Amino acid sequence: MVDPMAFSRILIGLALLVLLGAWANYSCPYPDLAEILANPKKFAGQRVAIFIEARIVEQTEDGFILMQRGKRLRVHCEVKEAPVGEYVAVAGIFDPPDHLRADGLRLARDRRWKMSISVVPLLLLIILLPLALRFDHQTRTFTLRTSTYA
Amino acid sequence: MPDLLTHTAAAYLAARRWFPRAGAILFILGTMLPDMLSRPFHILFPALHWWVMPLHTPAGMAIVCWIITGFFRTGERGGVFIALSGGVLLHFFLDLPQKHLVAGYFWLFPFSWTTYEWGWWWSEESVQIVPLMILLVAFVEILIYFHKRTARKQKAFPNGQDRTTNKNKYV
Repeated sequence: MVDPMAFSRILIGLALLVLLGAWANYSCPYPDLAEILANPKKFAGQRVAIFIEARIVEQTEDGFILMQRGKRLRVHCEVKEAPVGEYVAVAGIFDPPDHLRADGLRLARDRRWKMSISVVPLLLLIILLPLALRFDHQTRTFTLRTSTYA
Repeated sequence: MPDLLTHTAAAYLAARRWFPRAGAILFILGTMLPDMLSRPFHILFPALHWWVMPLHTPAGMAIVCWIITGFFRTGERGGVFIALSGGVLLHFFLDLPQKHLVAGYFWLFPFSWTTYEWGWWWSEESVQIVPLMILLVAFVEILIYFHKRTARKQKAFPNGQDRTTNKNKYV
């Protein structure tokens, strides 16, 4: 038998998380590239930042072109080497229709490596959790294993 | 964030004394939770970035830990919540020294978008200390192994007489 209190706790918790997510999405002070390109007049001459999953797709003479969620932006900067495919974060002044004069830039060179090695602990967790927990079919809850050797 | 391996190694070292008891494993799980629940979504679906961002904030993680405790027996919920939240706090503490070009971590969300970081290193640079963390874990394990072996010997031969020494004496 499922504890109705536990069930409502899970539902209320999930609802709160959805509300937090909706609030974050609604009120976040960082417009993404699609929003900037859709309102070029609004952002003209303003300092903007593109940093969420943006990648370099092409190197140009005076910088590079980055892509974020299918939208492209030409970035003018003093970086000599802009490897195609690299994750990048840029901040600078927006020049309509699709240019950015970067005054801050960060190439996340180790990001792929970081993502790859982060999978290892998840695999360890698959081994560790059964050592710590047991599922009680009667109460349909997890219980902690109490033995010293778990 | 440092990479998940660095977070896990730090949690393991912090909870090593109690490992592999359930509390220690839940502490390690707590350390993984903020990245485990948020990163895959916004890497695979960047449009969801701000939707899942609260899962990497103290308020969001408090709710997540509270939800997880709902899957446990009533009497165990307090302990589970403490172990998970302890891990989450360690995660956030390890995230503090980083720097970002813009944004960063929103510790006071949903009340404020203020970010605060110590700005010592970039978030990807943690991968460079992964070998060091692995060596550190190995070093601690070796130390504990020798400490336990010495303790076992001392328990078996409290007067400091080794069995091999005794054997030689009478041969």
